[in-house]
Amino acid sequence: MKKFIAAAALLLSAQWSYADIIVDNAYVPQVPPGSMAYAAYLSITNSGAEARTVVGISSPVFGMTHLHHTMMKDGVSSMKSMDKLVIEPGNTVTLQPGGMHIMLMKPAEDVMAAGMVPIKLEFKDGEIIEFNVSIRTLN
Amino acid sequence: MKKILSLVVLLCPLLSLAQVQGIPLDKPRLIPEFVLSDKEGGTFTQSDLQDRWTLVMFGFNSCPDVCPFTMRNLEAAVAETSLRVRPDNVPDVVFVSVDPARDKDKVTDYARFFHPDFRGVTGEREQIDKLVKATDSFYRLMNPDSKGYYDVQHSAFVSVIGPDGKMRAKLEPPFHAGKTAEFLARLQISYRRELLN
Repeated sequence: MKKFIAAAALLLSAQWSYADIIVDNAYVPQVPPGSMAYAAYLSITNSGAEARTVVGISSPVFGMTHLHHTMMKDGVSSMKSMDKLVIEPGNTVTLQPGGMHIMLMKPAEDVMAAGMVPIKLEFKDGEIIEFNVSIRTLN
Repeated sequence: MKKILSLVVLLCPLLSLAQVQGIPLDKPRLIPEFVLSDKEGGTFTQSDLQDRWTLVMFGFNSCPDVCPFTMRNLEAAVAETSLRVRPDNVPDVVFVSVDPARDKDKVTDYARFFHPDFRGVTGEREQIDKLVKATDSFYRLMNPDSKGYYDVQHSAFVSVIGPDGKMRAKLEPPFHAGKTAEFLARLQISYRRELLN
């Protein structure tokens, strides 16, 4: 039973570890009908000794990808594009609803059916990491 | 003066910890006549606001973050509210798209995705603007980028309209389900008290 729970927990919260980067809590919520824009949420931890900077985000199944920050000013919400994401040593940067997200647009037709969205992060130092994020259904 | 300032500085984090979920309006705002519609041609007008509680959110379907986040949370908040109030006081939820050009045919299914009873409507610019103005809301369609996509800035709060057709409060993010339900239940009690006086 314990093994089963551990396996289920692994399935629910996939984690990817690299030399000094850990990607965790990644998911893409299922989009409502009529929406052209998907969002991906995740957290990135830098366990290394130097700051790391994400300079590129892409997905082969989406035509357009942006890193966005939802800004609230005077009760009005708008999105600000960010061209990089700096993760200081020992820190975790979390992309979550109402904060930062990866906006994914122009999906390939079978994205929902695949249930997974491959995401590629490119760092300033040239390192590239790739992982598959599950699409999370509403219920 | 310095003392007051430092007190304010001290209090600020406390206030934000309290996480205000709603703000009752000092002066309820009467909603004027307007006509919006869903994809089946069903209308949403001023008369739909009578004799029931209604939560209205403005947004657009291609909003990747704030709109789905709010709609998901409203679904949970309404479910919580239904445990606290009489069945006929469980609020209706209406999503109004301020982007009819892109959303006209899809906004109804969009809202139903979050709950089968949620309504999704839009309409003529002038009609949308009437409701936006009446609820003290705001939106702006941004300039399209090179690929034709445009973002839409919009108010993040949800308008709470009472059975007398007057907007009585604003719900604010993060729309915590239990706290929002508590706020709505209290708002309904103070509304009924007001009717008695």
